[in-house]
Amino acid sequence: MSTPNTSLWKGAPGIISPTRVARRRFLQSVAAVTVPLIVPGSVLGLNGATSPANRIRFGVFGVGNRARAILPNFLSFKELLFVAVSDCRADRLESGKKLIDDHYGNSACSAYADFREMLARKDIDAVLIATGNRWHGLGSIYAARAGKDIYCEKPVTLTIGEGRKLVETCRQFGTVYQAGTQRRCTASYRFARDMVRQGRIGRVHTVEMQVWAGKGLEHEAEVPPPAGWNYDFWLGQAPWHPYVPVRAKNWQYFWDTAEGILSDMGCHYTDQMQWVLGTDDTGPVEFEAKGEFPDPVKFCNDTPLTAEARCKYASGVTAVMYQRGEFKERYLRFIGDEGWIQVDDETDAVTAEPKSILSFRGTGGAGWGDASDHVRDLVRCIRSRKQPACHPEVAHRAMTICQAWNISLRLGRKLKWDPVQERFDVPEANRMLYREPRAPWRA
Amino acid sequence: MNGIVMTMKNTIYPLLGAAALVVSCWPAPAATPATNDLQQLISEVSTYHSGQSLESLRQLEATVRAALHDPALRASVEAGLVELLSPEASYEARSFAAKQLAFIGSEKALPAMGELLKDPQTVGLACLALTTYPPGKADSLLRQALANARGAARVQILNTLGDRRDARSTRLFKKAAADADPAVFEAGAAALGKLGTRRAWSTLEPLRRKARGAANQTLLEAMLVCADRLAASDPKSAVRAYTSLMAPHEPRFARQAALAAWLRLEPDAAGKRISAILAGSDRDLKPVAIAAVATLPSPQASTQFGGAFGTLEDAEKVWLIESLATRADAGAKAAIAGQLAATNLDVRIAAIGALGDIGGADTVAILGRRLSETQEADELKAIENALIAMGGGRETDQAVQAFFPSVSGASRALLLSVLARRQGSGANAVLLQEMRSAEAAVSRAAFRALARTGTEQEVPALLAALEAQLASPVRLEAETATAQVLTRLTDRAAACGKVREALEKAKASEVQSSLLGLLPVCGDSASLDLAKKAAANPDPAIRDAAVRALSEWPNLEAWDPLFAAYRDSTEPALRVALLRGLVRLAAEEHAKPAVADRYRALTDQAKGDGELKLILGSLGGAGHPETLQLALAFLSREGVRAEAEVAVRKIAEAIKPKHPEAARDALAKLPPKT
Repeated sequence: MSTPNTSLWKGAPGIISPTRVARRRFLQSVAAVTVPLIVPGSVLGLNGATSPANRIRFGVFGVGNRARAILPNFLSFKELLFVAVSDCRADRLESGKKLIDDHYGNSACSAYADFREMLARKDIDAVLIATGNRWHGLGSIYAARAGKDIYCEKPVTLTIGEGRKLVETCRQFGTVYQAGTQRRCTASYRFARDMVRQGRIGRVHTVEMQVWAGKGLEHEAEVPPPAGWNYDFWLGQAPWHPYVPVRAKNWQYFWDTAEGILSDMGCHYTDQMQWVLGTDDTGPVEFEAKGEFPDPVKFCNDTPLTAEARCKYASGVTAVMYQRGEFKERYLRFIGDEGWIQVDDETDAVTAEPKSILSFRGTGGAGWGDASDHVRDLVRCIRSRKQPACHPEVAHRAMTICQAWNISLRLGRKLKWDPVQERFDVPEANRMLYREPRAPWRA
Repeated sequence: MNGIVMTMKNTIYPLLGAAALVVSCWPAPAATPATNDLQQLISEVSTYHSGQSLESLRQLEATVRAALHDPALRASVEAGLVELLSPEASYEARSFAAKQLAFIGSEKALPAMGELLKDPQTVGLACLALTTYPPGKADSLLRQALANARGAARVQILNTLGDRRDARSTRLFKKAAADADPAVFEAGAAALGKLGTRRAWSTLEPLRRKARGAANQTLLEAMLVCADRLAASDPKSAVRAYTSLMAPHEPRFARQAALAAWLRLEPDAAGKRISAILAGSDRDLKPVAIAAVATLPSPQASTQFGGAFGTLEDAEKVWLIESLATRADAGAKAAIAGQLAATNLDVRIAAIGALGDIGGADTVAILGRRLSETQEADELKAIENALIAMGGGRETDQAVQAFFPSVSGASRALLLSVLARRQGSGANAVLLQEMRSAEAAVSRAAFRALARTGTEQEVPALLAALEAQLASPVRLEAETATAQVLTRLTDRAAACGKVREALEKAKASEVQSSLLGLLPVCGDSASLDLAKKAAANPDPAIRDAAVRALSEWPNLEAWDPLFAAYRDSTEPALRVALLRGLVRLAAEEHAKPAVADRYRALTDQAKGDGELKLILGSLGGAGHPETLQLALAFLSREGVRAEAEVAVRKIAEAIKPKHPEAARDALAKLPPKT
């Protein structure tokens, strides 16, 4: 069995060369960014009115499937210029560079196997982070320390502690950071939020959410990593584990490298819940989660197949997230004492009771698959140095809910949470707030 | 200071003994194993490798969970996990054990952790577990191990001590920050930064003065972290630190971060500093200064900085508008309102949007006046959106209504759209009044709005409007509005009664035509009778309207009169409209074989290939042997062969299970699919 190669990170072949905000203040800072102003944009240097010297130069960290899906949203902005990509897999590095080069019709995009080299470039202003989950938080922290602004895919962190470090680091380095929870800039979700906030379903008492059921992954033995794949880099902060193909291809289903579907997708809905309820600077005070786990005789993954996760806010509002059913059956529903409103995440359809609520909806607006408005929000903030809609504190608080559920699942305990002190009432749960990164990586 | 992560020192040591309900969420057995069983489990886990069953690991995890409330079991389990840390166990077993000890381990596990710290292969496992230990012995262990650690192991231990903010390691961090190994140097510098003490700062600052390149950047990072920590414990030192980091030679991001922090630390002096920056030429710091206006504590800040627009570029004015909007006080609103007169369109639009966010009834007139002053489409749209979104509920609705007399034409029409979208109480009364406006644009806007907001209460007024003399575009809007209101009603009986009453009284041809157009929404027998009667009216316009109404009928009751009209009509466009209606009605009976008779009747009356194509296009949805025969008959007709083939194929596939021979024979008559 291979054991960690502690020299891999030091220039092995294949590698090119190696801060509590007062509630009023918080609300003011959130209020400043929750409703992007309708500004055509030329004055802000948007949409072609920008000279080349004033373009915001971007690098991409992680050019896998998600990066390929979201890059078009960025590339459509003429005021952005993508100059570099980085990936620890040679095949993705090559295809990522090609994607950028093809867009611009040149071969100017640089490619880095070591993202730190990309971050060291003084001419890069910002990065798009679309790596696997274990690199989201830590990669953002590295980027912030290098003075870069950030768009980072969700889920933004692996642990509650990492989330708080992310918030602190962005504060320490003045980083403009946008989490990839783009539904805050999506018409259907904004409409649902407006209807709830206008009291059209009465007082909200329950929030329901659903993500899909997981799958069992059959046991496989370790093998050497594929050629052209810097596996040590790929693992990043995660505890060393020999390369096992099923684990590498399905990293979302293992606690070491991700947090399971409840967090991976659930964070979109907890983010919406926090936004609509107006609790972006705090969170629930009770958590309880139960789940069905894969049969360990047959399967090697350790995150749940199905789950039912509940929480309760100090206001009395309760929420439940179901992990069950098919991928396309995802939804978010707010239930009040005078009705309910639901967004079907697969189709972007909004339903409600009473149906008359729907007559308030305007036309137009992109679905969540188009993150352009979310990107536009970030671009504006990079110039204005304000915080975008999904800034670190917001993202961290939404993630905390999912992470608290995971801790409850793993300990088999109901937990009470102090959102001000960010502590549980169970000592063992507090010892799961943070996981020390594997060297050389540090948060 | 926040209680997690950065305060690993304060991690609460696991309390033993408290009994609590344990919810088992694993399919494995919940009963805790006896000592021999536990030993057996440990033995099994010790040889674990990827690819093997995980059952024993999961059982051990369940045991760990059960042990949280059972001191005796906890001691045994911990001893077992410690055993798994020995070199005799597989690496994956040791990794598993370390992860469990990370939340259940006590001081008893420390000796074994100490051994792991000596081995570069396992130092990461040890640190993963030790991070969660309370301050004290764990730190001593780490410091001791550091003395002999090299390379990656040294870096790992430094990182962990840094995360634990172990002040007793300051000398060690300082030594590391002078190390020739870049990775060790980085770890040492970062650890000093995390300590966040004056001593750490005074170590880092001189080091940075001498450093170049990447090392200088590393030390800058550490200093920014250090200054942030100092802000909590020693604000005066932090202010000095941030002042130095704002120096012009520092990187832009560092200057901006330092300014933002400085302004947070010095709220009383912040205003003066911001003013100086806004009046100056430091482009790097201006955005941060403008952003900070949002949270200045002084009640005069809005007024003070509301006067700063003149010194700013247009983009900066937009940012200042956003900051003032966050303040949302009277001074801010006044300052923002002043920007409605800005020469730059984007600035004006930003001001409009901001007033929409923070304004209320008192802001309506301000935006209303702007309506009349601008012709810019984007600006008008912004005003509309701002008024729709504006808070203030009923008061704002009333303010919008009260503003009506001040505007006319397109502005008035826009305000009607606002009223409709706000759906405030009293809106419909205003809309009913405005729909009678002599200005066509206003009247049409009122009808469009009523289409959205009208209820059963508005039906009589809408019908009365249709009875009046209306210009044709306005009449069209009125018809649409009335139809949409009717469609929304769950019980239309009473409203439809009024429609029929109005129709029976109507004299003018265009009025009758309008009212006839509403009958399909009603769809009942009484309405059908009126439509049939009108279809025989000598006035061609009325006859035409009646026939079109029949072609839109929602149920098969209209089949006979519609068919008669289709049969007797000679006007091609009308025939197509009638045929569409008939085909739509036929589709209601696709499940019944007898629908073939309806289609046959249609094909018998069809004039030309165009009409046949329309029929065949729908016929394919009726899967019966009878309809198959009908479709087959048209395979020989050149002009519609393609449509007939499609119909035959669809029907044959549909009837194949129950009529395989008929289906096969039919498909055999078709050319092969390419």
